[in-house]
Amino acid sequence: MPERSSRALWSGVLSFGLVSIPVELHSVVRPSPIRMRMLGPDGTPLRRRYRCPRHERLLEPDDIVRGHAEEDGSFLVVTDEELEALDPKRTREIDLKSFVPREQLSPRLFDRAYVLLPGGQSAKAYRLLAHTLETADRVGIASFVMRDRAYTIAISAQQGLLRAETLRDASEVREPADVGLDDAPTRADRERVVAFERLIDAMPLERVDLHDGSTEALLALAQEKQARGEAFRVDAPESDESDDPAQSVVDLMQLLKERLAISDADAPAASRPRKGPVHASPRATHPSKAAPDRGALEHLTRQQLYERAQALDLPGRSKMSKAELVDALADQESPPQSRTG
Amino acid sequence: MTARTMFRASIAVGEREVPVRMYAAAQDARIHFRLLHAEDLQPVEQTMVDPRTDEPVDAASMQRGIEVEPGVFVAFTKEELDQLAPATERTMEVEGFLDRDTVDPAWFDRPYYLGPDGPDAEYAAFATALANRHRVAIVRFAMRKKNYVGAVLAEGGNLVLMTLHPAEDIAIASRLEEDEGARKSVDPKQVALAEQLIATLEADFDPAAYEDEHRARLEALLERKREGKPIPRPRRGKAPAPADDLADALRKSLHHAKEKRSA
Repeated sequence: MPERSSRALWSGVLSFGLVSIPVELHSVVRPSPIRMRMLGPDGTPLRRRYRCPRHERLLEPDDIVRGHAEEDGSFLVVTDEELEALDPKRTREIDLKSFVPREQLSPRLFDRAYVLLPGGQSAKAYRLLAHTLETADRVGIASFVMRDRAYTIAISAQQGLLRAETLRDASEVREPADVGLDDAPTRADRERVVAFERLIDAMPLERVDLHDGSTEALLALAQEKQARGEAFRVDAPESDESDDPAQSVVDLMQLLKERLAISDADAPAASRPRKGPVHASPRATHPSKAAPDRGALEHLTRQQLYERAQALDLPGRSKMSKAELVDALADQESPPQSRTG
Repeated sequence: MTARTMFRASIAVGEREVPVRMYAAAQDARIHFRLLHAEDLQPVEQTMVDPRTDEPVDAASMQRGIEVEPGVFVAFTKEELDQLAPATERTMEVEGFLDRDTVDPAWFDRPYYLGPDGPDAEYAAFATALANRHRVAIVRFAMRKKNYVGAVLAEGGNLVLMTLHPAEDIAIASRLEEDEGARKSVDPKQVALAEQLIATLEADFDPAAYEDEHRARLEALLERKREGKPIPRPRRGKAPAPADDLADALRKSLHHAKEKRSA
């Protein structure tokens, strides 16, 4: 089944000395599948379009140009080509010129998070850099140009994967003094510090649950309404903001495993058969080790089923209906005989 | 200069309370472009249309809702949404403390400063204790009808709050299981060379020297256009080709980097 792939926001080369690593940049943060949308009177999800107020008509991408707002209220048109010509090298290349200790980067600087996926035929150099950055515990700093602006980017590695974070520049961050805080605050009272340290030691956390409960509450209300028959069935194809690149991030994890699997070959990957589907390691957080029967699966919501499918990396899951998810999970969770693992 | 307080809250750790005021720590300061209609250079508007007909839908007949299963949508009334919206929660209850190094930057949404609200003895002690223990406090609160999970950390004696993205919005697991193949396919000799190269390129973080350079070039381009001067023809950027011999490329890079350093 063809998997709809995550769309790269930028692709080019990551340079480490004379070593060039073809990479694609993919967003890590994207809107949740269960998120508030604007619907029409009959429940059809609406699409966001650009419109010219003077001509009173919708515009296609080709009808739109970029303009810089001038002081007199007019606009100066700037084309993509002109922007690219400002710095052609950095439009195509992320050149890692310096490496810094991680603790020098304040969390305040981190803007958006991305992963870098190997983009070429071999991921050997990718793996080498990821491995080395991780053991050296260093962050590579570079600047590059994406669409209409330059970014400073921090490249780090975690479990064999290259991660990238765009950083806010000096004009985008405020220093403590800007908000009236002291740069060298009051010396703390020793006894009070010890009391807080005891509390800190008494409340260690291993992991954080980033759910804030709002999606669950929304879904519960929706399901209640659905049960009362207050739901719209819509035949329109995927229609809501389908131009949004974030929307097409369907299966980043799957894509990632495939890309990394390419490089298992020592020989040029092109001549080797592609490694089969990667089921190798169901993640540590596998929701249920015991194989549940179909009945149990049928009582779950689509979202719960989807999350299980995600943990098992079932291909094509995002397009599956609830019934299809139940089928696929029942097959997976009570395997017939032989599944290579 | 005094900044606007966005929110007043109190961090609750066990039985101790640290009253704080919240200030934005980031601001938008880029050169902005507007999207224009090419024909008349009018700024475009955004509108919501019915995808079947491309007919704009007016605000009054739009509803907010979610997709419960593929192709099935449920709409909510304003009253229902108001009821779901959480009440403001000014107590930032600390759930526990996480080692600073295990916090994944991908979780970070927006940065804020938390300044002391009133006497600062508890504030200073909490900030010092967090720094000494190299931990961040995970807190939950509700502000302006929205729930938040946040990480409170100490920086230079002040408290910083990072709000965190909800789990649903993060597309990768933060702890990936590394597959065996990855480790095996890395050549220890190449790793040693790569490590040396990183050590040679080691530097202190210098925030965005280049960013200003790009801004200056952009300003120069805009100036040429204002004066009606010709714009230099775009050259296409050429990305370097991947090296055939990784070890050799590393050795040469190391050589260059060392030469540059001693120059």
